[in-house]
Amino acid sequence: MLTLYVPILMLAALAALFAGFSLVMGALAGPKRWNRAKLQAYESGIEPTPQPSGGGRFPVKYYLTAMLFILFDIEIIFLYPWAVTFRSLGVFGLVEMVLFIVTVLVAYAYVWRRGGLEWD
Amino acid sequence: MNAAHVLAASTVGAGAVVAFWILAVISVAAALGLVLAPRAVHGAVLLAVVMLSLAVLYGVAGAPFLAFVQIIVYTGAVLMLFLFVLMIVGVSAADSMRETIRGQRLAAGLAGIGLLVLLALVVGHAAIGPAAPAGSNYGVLNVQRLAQLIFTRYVFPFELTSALLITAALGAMVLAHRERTSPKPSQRDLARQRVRGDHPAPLPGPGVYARGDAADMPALLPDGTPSPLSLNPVMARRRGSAIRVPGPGVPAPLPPGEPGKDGGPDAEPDREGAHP
Amino acid sequence: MIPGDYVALAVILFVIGAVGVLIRRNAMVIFMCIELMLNAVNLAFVAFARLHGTIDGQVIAFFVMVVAAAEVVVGLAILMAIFRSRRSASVDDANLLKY
Repeated sequence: MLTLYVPILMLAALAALFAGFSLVMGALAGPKRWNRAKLQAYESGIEPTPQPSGGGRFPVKYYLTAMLFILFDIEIIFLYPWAVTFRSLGVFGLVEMVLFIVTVLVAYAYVWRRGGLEWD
Repeated sequence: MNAAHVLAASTVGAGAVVAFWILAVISVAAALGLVLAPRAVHGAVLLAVVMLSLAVLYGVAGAPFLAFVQIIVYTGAVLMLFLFVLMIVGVSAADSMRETIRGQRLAAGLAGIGLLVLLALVVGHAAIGPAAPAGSNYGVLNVQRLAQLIFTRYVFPFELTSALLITAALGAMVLAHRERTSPKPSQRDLARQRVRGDHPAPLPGPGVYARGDAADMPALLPDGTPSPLSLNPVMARRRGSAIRVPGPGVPAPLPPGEPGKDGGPDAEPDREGAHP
Repeated sequence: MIPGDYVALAVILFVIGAVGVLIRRNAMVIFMCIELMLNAVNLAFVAFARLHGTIDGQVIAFFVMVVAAAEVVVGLAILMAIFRSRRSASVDDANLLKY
């Protein structure tokens, strides 16, 4: 059954080759004339956002987004095997999946109501 | 499909053994690095290495669905969450490697060795034989068989998982969410605030003389004097910035050959005093 | 594959994770070591499932992953709440309930 993965492995090898080739050739073949402005971080032409000493920190609101992503990621993970066996499971499978999704939607409604989805 | 089944049923392929030993060495080395690396970020990246090698090992052991769940849930979501929190806590915060409890490391090492010996004895006594002949559970039908188990025999844990997700959402919202204490300003509020403020029009943009950073060259007013309003105040405070924002009373150094020496009313009283 | 080798690897990874929980002071690293232990247990589940030729072990490992994901969400939220009030991610600083 490992032969099933040969195409994936070939794709991964191709991707790695391409990434390595691009980096190496860029370093070897590209002309390099540095000055201070070129070496600075580029943020669409505006002054780069100053980073606090000791590395940058992210606002905490990103965390909620990541958390919600995990919750619905898990939901999707359950949906995939369910979809594969949807026919053989029949009505029973449909009912239990609807129950599952409705219960997860309770979490969604709670987060929505508390304002966890607002971005400001 | 048939060939895949035959291959899955074969006892020990040479490729599987080679893959196991390579991945075992990689994962143990990365796990040791996680324990020993002073910086949490390095630990997170090494943990990603462990998880990816384990994912490949799952694939080798005939659990392709689990391999992808490992990559999607663990490496993709859980580790990403770890990195988010590390970014919030501060990336470069390194642990001090000083012991805070005397003899803790020695005791922990002894406990670890004891645990290792204990588990090795248990596993060694268990006489784990070769793998049973893999039926149709392994190979290309793996996902279907897993699904039939999850949605029939393990349907109760599956439904409980949704309750667990509610708990997780609740915990994260209660612990990490900050309520707004003031109402969010609407566009109308923002527009009103702007019209009533000092500058209804946009501030002058920075200069375009790209000898240094375009963003730190002040704009010139019609009379040729630099406008401090055109620069980001953060930049003026920044160490190492070559440009000083001219204060109201200080004559600003003009770029040579610029207009402004002749003609045009000079706005600054000091300059007027210098050039009567 | 040889299930015994897999179980041995799982044992080694589990012990490394346990030692990491014991010696590190950074709560984030401790949490990551716990994840390492969970992963080791999952590997043992998969190996034993292969040993018996069934896939119940894979189902259990799957549920372990799901529970671990939910656990990480809440655990990291707790860590972040502690960090916000104490400005430190070290477990030595969260000692109000110790005595």
